[in-house]
Amino acid sequence: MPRGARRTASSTRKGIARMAMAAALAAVLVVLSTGPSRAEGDVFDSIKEGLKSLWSFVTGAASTAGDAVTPPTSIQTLKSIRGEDKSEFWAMLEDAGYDLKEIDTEVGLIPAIEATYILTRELSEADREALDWRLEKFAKNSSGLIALIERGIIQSLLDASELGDYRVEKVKIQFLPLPKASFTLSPTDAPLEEEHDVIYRAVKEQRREMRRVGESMRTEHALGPASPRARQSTQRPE
Amino acid sequence: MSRLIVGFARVAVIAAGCLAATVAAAQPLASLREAQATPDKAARSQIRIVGSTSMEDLTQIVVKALVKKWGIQPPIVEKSGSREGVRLFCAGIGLEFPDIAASSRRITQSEFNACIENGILDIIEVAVALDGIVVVTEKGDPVFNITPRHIYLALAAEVPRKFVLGANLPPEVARAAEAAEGEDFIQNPFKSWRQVDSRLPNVPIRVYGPERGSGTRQFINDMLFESGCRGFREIRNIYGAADRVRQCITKRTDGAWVDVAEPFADKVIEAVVKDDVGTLGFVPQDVYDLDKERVDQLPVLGQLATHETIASGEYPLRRRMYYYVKRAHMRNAQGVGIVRGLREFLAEVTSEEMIGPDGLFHKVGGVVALPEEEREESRRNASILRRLER
Repeated sequence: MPRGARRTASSTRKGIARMAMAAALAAVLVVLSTGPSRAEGDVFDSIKEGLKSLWSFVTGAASTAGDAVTPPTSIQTLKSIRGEDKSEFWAMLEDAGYDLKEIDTEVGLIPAIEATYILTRELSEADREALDWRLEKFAKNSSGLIALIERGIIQSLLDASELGDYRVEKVKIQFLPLPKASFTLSPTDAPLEEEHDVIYRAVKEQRREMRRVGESMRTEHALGPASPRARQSTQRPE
Repeated sequence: MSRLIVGFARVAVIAAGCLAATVAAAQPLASLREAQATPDKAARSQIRIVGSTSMEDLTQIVVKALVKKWGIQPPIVEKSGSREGVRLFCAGIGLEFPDIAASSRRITQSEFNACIENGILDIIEVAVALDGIVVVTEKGDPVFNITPRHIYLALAAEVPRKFVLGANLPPEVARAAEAAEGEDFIQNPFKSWRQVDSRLPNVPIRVYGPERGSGTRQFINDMLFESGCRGFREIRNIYGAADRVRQCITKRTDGAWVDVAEPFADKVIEAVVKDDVGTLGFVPQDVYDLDKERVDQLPVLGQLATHETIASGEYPLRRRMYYYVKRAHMRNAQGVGIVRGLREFLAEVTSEEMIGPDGLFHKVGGVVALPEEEREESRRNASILRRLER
């Protein structure tokens, strides 16, 4: 196997392994958050404590969950994720190129909340470095299991952004009933869906048309002065 | 009993590990001595070093030591800037290609890929020092806290139209911005720092910085322009990294940003001192240290560059300096290879005498020593000739 291919394959494996690790860590949280020292009679309290702890993952303020077992509404969750005082984790997730697409909540005996993030930006070299630095700082300032899970998720996305042949298109972060993160990895050259295919073909057609117009204009003004628009564009890219 | 066996097994594993580590540590020194004793059948007599002008002083310090301590012919040093240096380094293997690249930033993924494509599979990377980039102004001119966002808004060729609409601009400029309905970005209309942010002084925007190809320029692009534009929704809406980066780092051509040719640092200081009130410039921290009587530094995100804030990482415009060495250019056990002295270079450039807190790089070169664990890692990379992987 050529060296380059070997390198890509190994980093793919590394990225996937990290994702699995992050998801597993998230699942472990619920077990640890209830604590082993609880008396058997306190099961209900224990569950409430667990939920409180999980909700603090979303808001960063454990008191919000109060004494209720009912989950926060989508609007409350949205405010915590998108608000000015959002936690470092959500800000890092955005810096990793992901934006919130939807929040699903289920009310019932076992409530559920899940936020879906989709990839909206490719990361540049500087983006990756800045995120790396932020993660380092975050690791120094925040300890504990939740911070570990959060770091695991962001690090997985950072690793995945360097895979080249694959990208994580979607991240689902579930808070309740069991906290977990799931990653949808897809090939970068995967066939387009119908809607995207139509847009892609339309853009291509438009470009062809612009080239045709440009060429005919150049032919017409071959001996004339440059157009004002051409004169204006003096900025050179870096 | 079984616990005892497990205990013995653990001790045995640790002992074996220690032995292996000792052998590994002894090997490079032994091979270096062997290499010294081997008759020289190298194809070229002088090492060729290309790259960063900011690292010129550091390179000269190592060159002197190589000649004095190891009897190696003085290497050829070409100041080409980090980007050009790494490009030349990654162009291929053979007599006509450089052996070492000095870079004031880490090699990028695309540069690394170019190296691999050109058959340079074994690159040895050693980080050698920390340095800060300082924003300076003439002594007596207004000193104000500057942020990446300020730099982007003041110096990018185009800025988000929505931001311009909310800024305090003369009516005719505001009208022009309003007229550009439907556009996300418009040509940068800001003339003074006060227009960018009402808390900044009312002095014209004029900034001197290194020209393209300089590692410092790349660093300024990454740490100030890209970092400053990242928060704008209009920028975040651009999917492609290349398009987004271009939008962020393309600079004004109306005189607000002035390119300075390499070696840029002293020229920037002269320009800042001679030009109008409020003129700013970017220089490496060691240059600022030498010209403290003529220029003041501006805090960046509230932090001033000192050796302490650079070492601790509190100062945001801090960077690492690297040397990249081609293993394929080293001589083999029979003394055959492109050039003699690459192992010696690596040993010298990672020695505590060079890169330690009291080393020559700090004392003479004016840079800040890396933390101990990073210096150790560089020494390890150099001694086992660890291949760079990205």
